[in-house]
Amino acid sequence: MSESRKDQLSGLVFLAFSIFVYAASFSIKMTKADSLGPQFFPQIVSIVMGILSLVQIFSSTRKNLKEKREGKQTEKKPFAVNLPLLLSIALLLGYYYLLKPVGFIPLTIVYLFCQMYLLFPKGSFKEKKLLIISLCTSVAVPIAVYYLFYYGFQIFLPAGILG
Amino acid sequence: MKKLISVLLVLCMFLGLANVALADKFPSKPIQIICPVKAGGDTDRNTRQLALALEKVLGVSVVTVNVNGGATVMGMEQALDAEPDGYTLIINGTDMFVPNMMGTTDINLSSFKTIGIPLIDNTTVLVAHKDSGYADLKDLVEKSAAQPDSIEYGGKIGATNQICGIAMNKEWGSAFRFQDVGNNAAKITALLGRQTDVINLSYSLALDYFKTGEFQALCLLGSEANELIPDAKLASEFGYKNVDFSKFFWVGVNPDTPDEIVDILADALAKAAQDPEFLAYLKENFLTPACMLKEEAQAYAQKFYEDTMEIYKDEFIAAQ
Amino acid sequence: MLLQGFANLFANPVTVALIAIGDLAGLIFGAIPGLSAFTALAIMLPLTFSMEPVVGISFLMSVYVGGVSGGFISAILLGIPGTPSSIATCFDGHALATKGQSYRAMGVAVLFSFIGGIFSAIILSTLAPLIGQVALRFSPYEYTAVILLALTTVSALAEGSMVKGLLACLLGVSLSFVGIDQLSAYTRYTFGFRELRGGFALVPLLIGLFAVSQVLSNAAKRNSVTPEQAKLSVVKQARMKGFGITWKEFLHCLKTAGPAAAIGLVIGILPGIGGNIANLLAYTFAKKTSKHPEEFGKGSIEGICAPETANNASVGGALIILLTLGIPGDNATSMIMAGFQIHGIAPGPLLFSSGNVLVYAIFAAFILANVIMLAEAYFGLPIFSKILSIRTEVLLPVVIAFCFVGSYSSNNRIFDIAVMVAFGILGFVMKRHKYPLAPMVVGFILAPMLEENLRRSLMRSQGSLMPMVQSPIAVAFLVLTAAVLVYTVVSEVKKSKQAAAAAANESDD
Repeated sequence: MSESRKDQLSGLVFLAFSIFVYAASFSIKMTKADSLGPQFFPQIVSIVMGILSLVQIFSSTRKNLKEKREGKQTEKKPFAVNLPLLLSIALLLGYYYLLKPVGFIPLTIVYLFCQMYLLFPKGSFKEKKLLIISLCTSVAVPIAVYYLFYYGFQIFLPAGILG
Repeated sequence: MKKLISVLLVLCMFLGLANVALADKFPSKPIQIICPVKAGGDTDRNTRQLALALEKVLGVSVVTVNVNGGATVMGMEQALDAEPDGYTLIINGTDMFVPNMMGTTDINLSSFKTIGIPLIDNTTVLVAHKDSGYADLKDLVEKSAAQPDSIEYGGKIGATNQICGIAMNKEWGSAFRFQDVGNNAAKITALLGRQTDVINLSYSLALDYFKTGEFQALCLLGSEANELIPDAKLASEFGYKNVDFSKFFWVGVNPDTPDEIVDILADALAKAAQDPEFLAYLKENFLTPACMLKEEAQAYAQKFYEDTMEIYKDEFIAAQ
Repeated sequence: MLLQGFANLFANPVTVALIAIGDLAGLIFGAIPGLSAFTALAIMLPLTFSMEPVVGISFLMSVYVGGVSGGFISAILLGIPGTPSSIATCFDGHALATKGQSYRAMGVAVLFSFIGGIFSAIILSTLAPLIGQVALRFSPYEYTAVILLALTTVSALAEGSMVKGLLACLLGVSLSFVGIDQLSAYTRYTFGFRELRGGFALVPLLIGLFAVSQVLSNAAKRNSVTPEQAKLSVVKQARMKGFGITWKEFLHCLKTAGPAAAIGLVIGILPGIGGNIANLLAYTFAKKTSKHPEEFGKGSIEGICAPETANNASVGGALIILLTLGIPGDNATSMIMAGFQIHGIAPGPLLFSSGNVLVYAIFAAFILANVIMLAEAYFGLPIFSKILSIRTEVLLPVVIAFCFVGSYSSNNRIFDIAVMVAFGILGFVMKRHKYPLAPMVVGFILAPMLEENLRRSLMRSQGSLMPMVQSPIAVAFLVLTAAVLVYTVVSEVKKSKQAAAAAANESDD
């Protein structure tokens, strides 16, 4: 996607978001303690946001058309699924869902190792040294943090299956 | 990779075993007290002092956990979501009723089992700046009634502060205009800067200003005198009805907690409330010791709500 | 008097040792994203129960100083602000680190953190009671005007396109609507999710935007590099001595530091606005007044000096209000206030009139905490820059693990981890589309205060804006706001004209 296409798209998203904020403001319970009330700010903000997003769409469309006319448009790249990115997001969401049942120590060990795997370029773990470093860090950090917080600071991280 | 995972699993199990040998005797692990406001205020301070006293009685560590947000609702929800094993307690006060009054939550006193009430904060005073020149409460009320809305009462909107304003106007015939100024710190600032005329406040929060004479305690907003604060008289001494905005300090627990555990906790609370250091702390902060347990405490809290807050509910909702 | 304070302090070597420990603990907490000065204070507070009053308060003070300073370490090394007060430090600090000059960047940060701290300490110990009286004159009218100025300055003058900066800011503003409306106590924009009733918390939002998004962008790039390339991409960090800058550079930066310290002090004095806004405002100011604005964002040392001076100067400002009036301006100072109360000392006017000895001991402790912080951070510099020799692929996940801990422990809710992840994804998408993140954070922090104060003003004036125009302080800030707006629009128009002219020239060729 070219830069101007991207701007067009984000402008549209912002426009949709501002309409959403505006529409949802009507379900706010009105109060009369102050003359503006709780709907005023969200409405003003969404209107200004809507105008700005129109400016954004307009200017990026103009730029895009110009680029097209001048034939500067870059060739379209085929849309590719970025697996490490999607897996990282899945990993983070999984962490949220599993933290209470599984607990901090085991889940963080798994998270750390998987995340390192997803960051190191493919094939890095063929190198024994990197694999060992990653493994040791993944195991040592969560255990150390958990007990430091538990005994040192009296902050109890979710214990999960170990509780 | 597979080998690796199995190594991890074994390690996790090993760690798990270390923690399994419990659950025969209560309490056998640390207890958490949820404080539904952020760290640093007077509620938080009371919670931490109680935690210290409970620790001595129970023999395990008792840790204060601040869960702030939603006008104490987030903390109460977390206590209701916790395992009903007695290891998660919650504290609250008169603030717990307000979200329910406004209809923003179903959670109420009866959503919990009450452990007890170890102290009552009968230190709420009505305060004016000395430069405002009110002779006493009577003078203030009369001036306010003579010129409705000319005297501003500053507080936090949608909180017990506001109910207090409604109650004073209704019971005393004054005509204060309510103005939102914010939390306790903001109320003190506003009064110091003479931006607002009167506020209600816990006495110990502005002790310095009472000592210097800058702040004038017009009356104690309670039903009984507090001998630790002799300069704050009850409204009844001026011939007005007492408007009670003292605050009880309530300890509760998830309603599904077994009764045996509630009994153990209530016993511990009773002993903690008698702890000499805890009592010294109370005295230092003008607080009144109390030792109401379980049903007695629950009935007290419920009655307090009905007598001092619920009767102003319609006006309170109408003022929003 | 101050000398007597120092004499008291040094009479007890334990105090000095504890200040050193407190500084170090603060630095470490500040350096870890998700754990801030407030977390450090909340954790350390119980430790002071058994200490002597002066000792305990000195200790808390040093934790505060260390905690606010420590944020620069991760800001520079990783581009992730260690605390909310070091967002702007990332911009140039991290740029320098990617050039292999992390030592120099950190040297500047340490030095000017110290200067900002000492500046505010001097003001604190000389003018505190006077400033306290002035601050009391700030009513909602004046607040509305000040916040408006801060909000427009930071978002309108952000990096890149003005429209994008403003859109990002308004996004932050919209997100702040979620939760309880301060002026009615009813909830807004929760869509029936009870977890949203408390709104989004700042800590998970911030580390999501800056730290989690970083992991996601690195993961997205994973398949485009080979293991060999990755190995080579570790930037070799230059070894240096001293603070890594010359005397000439130091003197040059000192000119930037002056206004930055003043900004930090004033922002710190106003309750509610703290180091985070001071840090960003000072950066923006320095950039707009610099002779070399084009270097900003690419590794300008002025761009590190200004925000770091300001956030440390804001500490002294916050302490002025706490000590003279007994009013805690933010979360961190309310912990220090709790520390005072535990020892039966009420900060406030009586502290100045009755217990002079104690006041000067506190001032002395604050100064000493800054000095020791300087020494510790100075000797730590070579160690800190070694951190970058750890592979990012290992370091980043560990940082995220700490972010999980920070998000969770800031309010003890697992839901905050979901917030952190969600904002991580949002931050990643925004960076891809070249939207600046700082205005969004500023909008998120300041909008609720703006709305609250404006509506409060109108509640008091019964719907009239006249009182605001009658207040000289408010008018001054409103005029400044208008000036910033005009300046931005004019320079934006100029910029687009220049761009058009350049494009026209190009097509002529």
